[in-house]
Amino acid sequence: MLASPWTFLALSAGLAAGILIGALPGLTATMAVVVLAPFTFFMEAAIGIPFLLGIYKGAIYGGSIPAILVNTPGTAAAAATARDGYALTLQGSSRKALELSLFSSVVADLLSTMVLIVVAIPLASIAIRFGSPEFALLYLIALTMIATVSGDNVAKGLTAAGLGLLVACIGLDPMSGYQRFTFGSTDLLGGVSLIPLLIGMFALSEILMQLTHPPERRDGTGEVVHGGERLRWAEFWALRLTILRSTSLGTFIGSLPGLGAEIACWIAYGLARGRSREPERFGKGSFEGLAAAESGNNAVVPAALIPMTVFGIPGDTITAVLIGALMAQGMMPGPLLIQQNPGFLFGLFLVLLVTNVLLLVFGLFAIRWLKQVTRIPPAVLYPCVLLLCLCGAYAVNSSTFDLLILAFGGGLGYLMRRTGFPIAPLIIGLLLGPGFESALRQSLVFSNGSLAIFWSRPGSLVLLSLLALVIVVMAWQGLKSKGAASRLPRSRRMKSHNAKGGDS
Amino acid sequence: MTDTVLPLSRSVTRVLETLMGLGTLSVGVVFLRIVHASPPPYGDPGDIGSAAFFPGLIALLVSALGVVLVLMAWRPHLPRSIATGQTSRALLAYALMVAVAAGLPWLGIWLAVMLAVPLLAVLFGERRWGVLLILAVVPPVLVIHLFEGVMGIYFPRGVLL
Amino acid sequence: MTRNVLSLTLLSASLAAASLSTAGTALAAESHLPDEPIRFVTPYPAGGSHSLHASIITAVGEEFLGRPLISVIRGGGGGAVAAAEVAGSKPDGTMLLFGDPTINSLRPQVEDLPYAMEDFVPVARINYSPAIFVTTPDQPFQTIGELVEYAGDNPDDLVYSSDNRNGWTYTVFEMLKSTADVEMRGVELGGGGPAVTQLLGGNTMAYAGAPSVVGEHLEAGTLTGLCVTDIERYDAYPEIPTCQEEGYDVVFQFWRGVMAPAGTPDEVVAELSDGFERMIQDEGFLRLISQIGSGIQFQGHEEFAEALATEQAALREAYLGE
Repeated sequence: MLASPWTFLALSAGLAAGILIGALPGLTATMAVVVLAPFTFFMEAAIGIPFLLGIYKGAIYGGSIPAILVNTPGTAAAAATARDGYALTLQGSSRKALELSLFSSVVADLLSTMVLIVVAIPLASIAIRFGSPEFALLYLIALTMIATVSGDNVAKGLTAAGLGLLVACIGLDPMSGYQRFTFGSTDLLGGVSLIPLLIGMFALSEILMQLTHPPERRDGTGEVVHGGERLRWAEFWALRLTILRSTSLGTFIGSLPGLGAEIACWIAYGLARGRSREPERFGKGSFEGLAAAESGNNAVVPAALIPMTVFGIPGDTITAVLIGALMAQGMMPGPLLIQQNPGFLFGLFLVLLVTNVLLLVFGLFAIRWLKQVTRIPPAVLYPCVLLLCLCGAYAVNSSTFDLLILAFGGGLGYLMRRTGFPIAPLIIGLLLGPGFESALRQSLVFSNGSLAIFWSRPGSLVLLSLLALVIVVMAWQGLKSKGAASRLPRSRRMKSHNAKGGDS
Repeated sequence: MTDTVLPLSRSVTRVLETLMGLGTLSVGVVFLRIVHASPPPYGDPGDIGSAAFFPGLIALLVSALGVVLVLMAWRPHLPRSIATGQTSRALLAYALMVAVAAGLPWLGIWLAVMLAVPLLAVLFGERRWGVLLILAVVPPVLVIHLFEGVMGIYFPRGVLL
Repeated sequence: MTRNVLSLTLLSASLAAASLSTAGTALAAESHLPDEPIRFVTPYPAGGSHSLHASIITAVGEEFLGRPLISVIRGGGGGAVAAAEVAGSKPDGTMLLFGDPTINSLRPQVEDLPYAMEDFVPVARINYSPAIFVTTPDQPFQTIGELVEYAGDNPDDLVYSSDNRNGWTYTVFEMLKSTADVEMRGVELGGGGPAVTQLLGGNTMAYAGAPSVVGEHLEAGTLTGLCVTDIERYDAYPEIPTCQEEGYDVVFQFWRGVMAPAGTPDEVVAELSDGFERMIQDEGFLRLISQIGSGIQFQGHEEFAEALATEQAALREAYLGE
């Protein structure tokens, strides 16, 4: 399959296009694949499918670029990346952050692809036993990560999370058919669109924060470092355990049909903070946090192909579209593909591995130029960011109502950041609320209303114990860090809060 | 200008934090009232399997947190005062964003973004006409063509353009 | 930044050029359509069979309709958001809904939605699929008769994968429950993908879905077909009986059709209908449709309008006449 130079070319073109699309806020990996899939209907399979895979991978990685550079996650999965990545940029280490994100992505992707190739079938047969009760508990574990991103004021963090969960309730409830909290608006029937709200809360509020605290005046020196140093090998090597942990987690979550990178990045982030020796640096430019978030969300990509190749079940929307593209080529992924067309499947695996190497090359090349973004004067950069946000928010659903959601998100994000409310818990609540609620209610239908389903199944019992463990560890660390924080001089805490505004 | 890192006075911070708490409380109460209206619009809020349980629980939590926030604003030792900044400029920019977002369906994509981009640049302190003119034309042309050409998004057209 | 943007434009220009297929054999001076692209709205999120069909139609449609077709994917509210938006759009043929029975016949009658059935005029039916009732080989029932018997012996014990309230799977199971007079519990899982997953994972016991969703598992033997909700057997799986043959009067044809907002001039509807009719005769289109495991059961606007009215009346009777 790789013999043809056209395959290679298609892969490269897809990857480059994917990185660019992912880097534009609002243009998500899903959209890129959905829009470009019809083009592949008229291509050969050996050209069209690598093209789509390139776009998929490129776009997931690309989402981290604007998250790091301008605090605007290109995709929902990059929201955790923005926390530490942007903090690093503010400290003048954007180059390090970009390189770290690239290396973590590539390593995670590579390891996860190996898992796909070697143990896809056994892993998938475990993953498919996971039903709604296990999903509900996994969501609950992810929701406990709210505590790790709440900063030093837990009440404000919980409030933000609660608001996110409330917003997530808006819309038509698929199980009961009730139109919840729509206030008579047709546009709210489908719920509050996530991506426009996300872009508003991050990007628009960032523009407003920049206007409130112009960077030259904040630094006082006038000399801003651009790009900064390269990432040193020792710095990366020190993160090997974090990356390995996040990768295993991302791979596992990705292999569960229905859970995606959005949930993996937060659990990985919270886990890394829990295991870290310096958890207080998280949100203020921690290498560990950035590496954990990026390897967590990128490991999901090859892993999401596991349910697709083994059962023909889409792991998420993107793989569903990929299945469509494969079907249009006359190849139905699933148990039959392995038997009938193993050559194609191994070609596919090979393409995935090659994509990784290419991603590294393209990424390093892109970083050479991208690190210059901080050189662009704010008066040029931020108007362009606004333009991209407007176009991106509209593009998600072709809906003008989403523009209002964008503006609302910008205002809310700005208000929260000025008054010290963290944004991340709200995003987590918004992302995970609907999944948690439906998994919980589905479980109760399974069990005919009995809560015993959450501990009577082997999988759910394991997860329930895990949840209890997470809560205990968190409470323990919370007490410990509270002691540590009070020892910090007050002036230093003030400064770190104001100067590194990326704590969101 | 060193005023950007100066904190607001303690009493102003208290008032602002109280307002945020009250805002949270009112959001929670609005949602609670909807869930508990009679007849309950989404089923029995006490039944864990119903469509009303989860929103009801969260609304209750949010209302309670609103009260906690108000109380916390009046603690004897506020941990941190809110930093001041050039809020008026940010509010102007926000007004611009809202106007563009709301007006885009009528103004059309071209007019809306060609006004929004240079105006935001002005707020960032750019005063050179040439730069503003380039900003008004080049980025919108590139971005809109990218979205419409490659991604197949069709933006709304307004009365003029 | 500028360099990136430059390469972006180059990319966009080349891709745009590639996308513009040879336009306009049908484009003539007598066209009644406004001179702007047609937005073809899919009311469900990307990744389902609806959006797959829509992507094929929009990829080849321009040649036959004389206008570029823009695929708009507008999920939410189980299709209600997109339907309400199209219903409220300017009725000149520039915004079309890719409708189905739940959006256009069932839900407006039984739910309080922001649009009505009368807000749409049918343009063309592209095709339909029956639902196939399936189960896994390790369940205690392997025919639809045994399933009903099991459900009768163990009321409320049989758990099946459903999609959404008043969705397609939901509806066929409701039909089966009322004709066979048994009780079963459906878990609304939101779509075909999760529904099949839960069935294969042993968490649920039955499901009914499109051949495109369950077909491969039927061939691989991981799922057993019970019956087909059509008046005749399904071509690809002739060994699966129809539900009527088995004694259960469950007939539900899940059609995919193009709907325009009410008030669209008749000549525009006729022109669009003719355009779609030319499209479904195209070899390239037929090849793509057959590769996704689907077929063509075309109806022009007049024939489709009659069929739709019959279906709406039948559903009104079934749901509201009780």
